[in-house]
Amino acid sequence: MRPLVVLVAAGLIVSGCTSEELAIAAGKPQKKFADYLARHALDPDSTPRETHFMKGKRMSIAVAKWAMNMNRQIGLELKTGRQSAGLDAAAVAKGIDYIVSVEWLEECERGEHPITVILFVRVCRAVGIDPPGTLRRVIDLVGPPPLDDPRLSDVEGEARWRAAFQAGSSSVA
Amino acid sequence: MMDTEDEETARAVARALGDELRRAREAGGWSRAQFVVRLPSGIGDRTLLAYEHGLRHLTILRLLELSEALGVYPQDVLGKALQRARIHLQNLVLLVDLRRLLRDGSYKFRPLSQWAKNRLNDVPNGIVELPPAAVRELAAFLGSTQQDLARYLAKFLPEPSDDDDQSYEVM
Repeated sequence: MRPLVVLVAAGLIVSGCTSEELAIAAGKPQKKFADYLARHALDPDSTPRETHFMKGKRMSIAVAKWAMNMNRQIGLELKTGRQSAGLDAAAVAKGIDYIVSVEWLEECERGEHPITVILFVRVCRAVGIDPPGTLRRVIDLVGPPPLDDPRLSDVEGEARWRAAFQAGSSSVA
Repeated sequence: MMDTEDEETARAVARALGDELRRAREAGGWSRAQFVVRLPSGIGDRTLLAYEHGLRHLTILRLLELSEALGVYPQDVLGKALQRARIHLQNLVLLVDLRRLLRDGSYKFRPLSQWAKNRLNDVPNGIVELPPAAVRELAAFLGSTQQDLARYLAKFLPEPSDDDDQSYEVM
């Protein structure tokens, strides 16, 4: 039954129905039905699922670059803070009770691993820097994730090519 | 290996962070299922639930992604979470609601009332940011330690309903 409901809902969404109309048609409470549609990525009232996946094989190159820069910048801020405090990586690892090894900490400082918030806060505390202030500085330097740049979306790009092809045009702006 | 206190601190940070994310999501009027479809990483609502309950540790990148989708600043989410959990306060810029501070009748920190009244004249929304250096100076004036005063001031984090005006006065 479920795939059929999803298919019908998808068809109705394409025809321009709102979630309220769909809920009435299905005889379900609106919130419950909206949750159901959202679980199947069919919520007509929300923005469609972005094409810039932030993990896995479908991560766009721009997002992957942004993530790499972000990891590097976080690592650099922590390393700079550590050096300003006159500490070496071993002292910081000891200060955070060796929840990660010295080698891992050094790799994090080089931006080779995505750092968890807990580890970030602990390292900030060990080197005596303000965690939110450090995070703000990193974001100011690297910028937000490039999720809204239409040039970076493979699906949108493909749609534009398709539209251009259907229109009989050979050039895409 | 972490000892019990460190594990408890890590759990408290994760819980406080999850709590802040949940507050922001609820303020936006989204259920978990509605919210996850907005996320570019395609995580499930159970993963979001684990983040919100502090059962799963967030990476900084995931915090940025969630904050971006929620329309809040990640540094604010982190700062409020740490202040609410009263963890690592010695390096934290504290957000203090002066009106809530004035309503508190602590005898130990009574001289702060006059300070709060004076500051309210300059700050219409009644919310100030106190950097660690300012807390240290106030603590010296009050004959208290920075840690004690920071723990006391951390109680007066502005409530979400008071956050509509996001401009804070830095001391």
